[in-house]
Amino acid sequence: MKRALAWLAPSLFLGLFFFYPLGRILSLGLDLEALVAPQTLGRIAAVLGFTLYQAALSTALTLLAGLPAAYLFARFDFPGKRLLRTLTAIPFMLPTLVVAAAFNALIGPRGWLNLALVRLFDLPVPPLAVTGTLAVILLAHVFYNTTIIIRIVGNALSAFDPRLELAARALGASPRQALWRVTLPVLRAPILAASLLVFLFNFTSFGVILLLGGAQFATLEVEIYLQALSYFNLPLAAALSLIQLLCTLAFSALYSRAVRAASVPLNPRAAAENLRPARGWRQKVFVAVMVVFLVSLFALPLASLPLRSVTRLEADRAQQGGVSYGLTGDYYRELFVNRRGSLFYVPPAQALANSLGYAGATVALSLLMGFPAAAALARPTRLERLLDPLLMLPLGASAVTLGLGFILAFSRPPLNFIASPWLVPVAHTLIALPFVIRALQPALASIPPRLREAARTLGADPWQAWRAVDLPIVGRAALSAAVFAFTVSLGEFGATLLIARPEYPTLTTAIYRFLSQPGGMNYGQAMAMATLLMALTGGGILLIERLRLPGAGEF
Amino acid sequence: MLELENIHKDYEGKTLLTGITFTVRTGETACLLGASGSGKSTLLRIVAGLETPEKGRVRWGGADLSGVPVHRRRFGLMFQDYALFPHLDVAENVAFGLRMQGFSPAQAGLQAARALEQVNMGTFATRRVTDLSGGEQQRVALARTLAPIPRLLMFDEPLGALDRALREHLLGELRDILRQTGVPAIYVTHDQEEAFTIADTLILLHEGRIAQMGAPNRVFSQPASAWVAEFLGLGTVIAARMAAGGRWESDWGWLRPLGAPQPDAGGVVRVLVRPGSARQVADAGENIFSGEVSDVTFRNESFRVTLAGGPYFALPEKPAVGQRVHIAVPETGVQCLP
Repeated sequence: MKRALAWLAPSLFLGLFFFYPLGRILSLGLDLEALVAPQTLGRIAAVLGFTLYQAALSTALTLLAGLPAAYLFARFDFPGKRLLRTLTAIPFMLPTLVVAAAFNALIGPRGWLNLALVRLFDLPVPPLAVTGTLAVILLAHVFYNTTIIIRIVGNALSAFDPRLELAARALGASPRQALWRVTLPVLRAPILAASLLVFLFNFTSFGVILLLGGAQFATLEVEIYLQALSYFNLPLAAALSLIQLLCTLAFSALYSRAVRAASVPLNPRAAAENLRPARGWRQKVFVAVMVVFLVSLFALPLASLPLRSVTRLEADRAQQGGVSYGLTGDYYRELFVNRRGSLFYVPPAQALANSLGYAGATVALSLLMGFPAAAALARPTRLERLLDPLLMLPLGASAVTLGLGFILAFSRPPLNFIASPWLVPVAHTLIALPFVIRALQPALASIPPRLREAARTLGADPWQAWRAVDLPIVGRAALSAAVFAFTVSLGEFGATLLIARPEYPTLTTAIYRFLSQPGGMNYGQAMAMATLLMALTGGGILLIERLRLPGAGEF
Repeated sequence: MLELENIHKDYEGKTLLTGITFTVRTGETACLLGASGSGKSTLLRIVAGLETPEKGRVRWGGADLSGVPVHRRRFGLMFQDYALFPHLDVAENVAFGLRMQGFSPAQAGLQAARALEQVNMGTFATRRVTDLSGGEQQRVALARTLAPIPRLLMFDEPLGALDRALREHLLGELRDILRQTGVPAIYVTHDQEEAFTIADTLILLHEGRIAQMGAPNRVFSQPASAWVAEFLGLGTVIAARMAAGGRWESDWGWLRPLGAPQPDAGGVVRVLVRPGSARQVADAGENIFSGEVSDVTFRNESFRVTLAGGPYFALPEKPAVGQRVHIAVPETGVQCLP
């Protein structure tokens, strides 16, 4: 009875805000008559084809960058290694919008490279035109996902017993043969698992493609957004959502299988045993080249963004006369001003306040839903074991699909919530909830009942025992889950773009609008807000890392 | 004084404990000895109030404890795996019970420091419990149990996870502490050496019942059943038949068991054969075991010599395996079991 009560709130929440909108998408998307039109079918095929193509290409490039990097981190010791490893992990946690803004700040038409070239050679137009090309999308995807390869393959590689290679050598294999016949086959499962995960993320990529690629590079996710909000073709958007959902579910299933295969114990060795400094010129060159490569791939975009937000490199749109170049705090100061002619009803700082409010509400909601579910799942009954994957299902639905579902389900009576600002934190909660549950559940399950009993025999009443034992141990996990929900909400872009009201802009929708406006001041403000978002998320990531219980998993 | 009266406990539809009645007086250490799964730990949990028996009473000083929750019983329980709080340091762990009694942090800290001194862990106060070795954790757990000055101490296999040398050392310390404090204690173990060392009263549990209860020397000299004799490793239990002529006959020769019932032709008794004070003799006879040696191992300054299919003896010299021998045992070495 008590257990049923614990499930009540999360299941009502999921039922109303996930399964009901999903049902609306289903009923609309399965309107076959409208879909069999050859023109529609052609569009769907083209979008699906491009989505798969760019995801496959991005994954291949990510492997190309990630495998040597994984080898570098698993096998070599060099100064600054920890710092470099942390650096490579940062992008993965950053909002897509920050990544897009960072690449824009580095190689966009107003980015460092172009403006430097324009000033140096006095050119009339920016010489590098990479935005709006496939290349920049691929680059951003590599930037985003390389850390997955480094973590998954690198961990497997550092647990890999190097004596296996030595044994192969002793049996007459050349170093190359040992690599191809022993090391790579053993690592096949983790490489496959990592690739599938990278592919999955690339498949559902939205912010990067919308901002860096533009409309001509429509992936499923972007096309859903465009069809729903620009062309109001809701049936087509719903059909695309369905295709998207089926694809992500299929890839997730493949990924889970690969993970299971990858978790076969390989007679693991202490990771430190495999580490050594580079020896011989070949290894030294390898380490040096990789370090330079990784630093430029990761540090340059990350540094460009905050630097660009405090630097004036061009004339503002309305500015007359002499232009003062150099450092400036104007872009930040401007965030608190409501300019006439601005598209905003409110000063941009209000967007920050909105975002923080939404994030706070997301934290409260997701802990409220997540705690009872995680507590029940910590010691599950058989029925609850079956419920577990159901709770994880929102992970398979993309953010844009979620937003579309909200529009379809809640824009008419009796559930006419679409104007409510509450819908945004509800959507964010759906996205954060699986992670929150996954963070709380192991902590709750890890508390041996004996600890509570020990507290009781030492004179603690049940409440005191809970406060003295459970709370401090779960507290870390709860705080970490809360920070996670907070950063997810701050950086969420896809669903927010669909459902946020224009009068309640968030950080991400505001950045998006600034980036689509002309003029140096708009651009500078976009950079300033993206920098703020980066700082907030970065602080959150650091906090989570510090709170992480030893031994807890990463993905 | 702790009294248990006719405790009965079921677990998943099966009887785990039944008819358990015993008393622990002030200054007394009772030792619950039994194989794993015999319900020893459950009995401790019942006394602590962590489990409720289906039948029976637990009394303290005559007062029924059934309505008294765990935290009001003031019974200290030291868990098998210590159950130290991983998020608190050593001193905070030890001070926990005092804090629960309402002592100020300073007072609790002071008394915790004293309890840590008592177990020779005074310098470890600010260490993390997760960084301690098994023996150090055991001492911290002991200090944590002792610090709130409980009315009764309970130990659930407290030395189980430690190596032999450390176990003997800590067992001695534990005995000293129990003697100094005079607090009644229940000590649960499956190791008979530990039990004989620490117990004032031995309580042997077998299949949910008390198989025998009494002072260690009494249990040693008068085992109440074949199971007790074999579980305590007192010797080998064999069968003896009443033969014509009023003599007891075994597969290895004639016997004169102590405490045997009046001869009654055809009757069978179970006889405990103790291995000690045995010697090799030239010929068969009464209380002389004749047979083929099946195994010889060196043990504790003598050779343990096993006869084919039967009893073993401690002999000063080593016969060859396969050799036929005659082994005489003293009168007290052959004892009839009830």
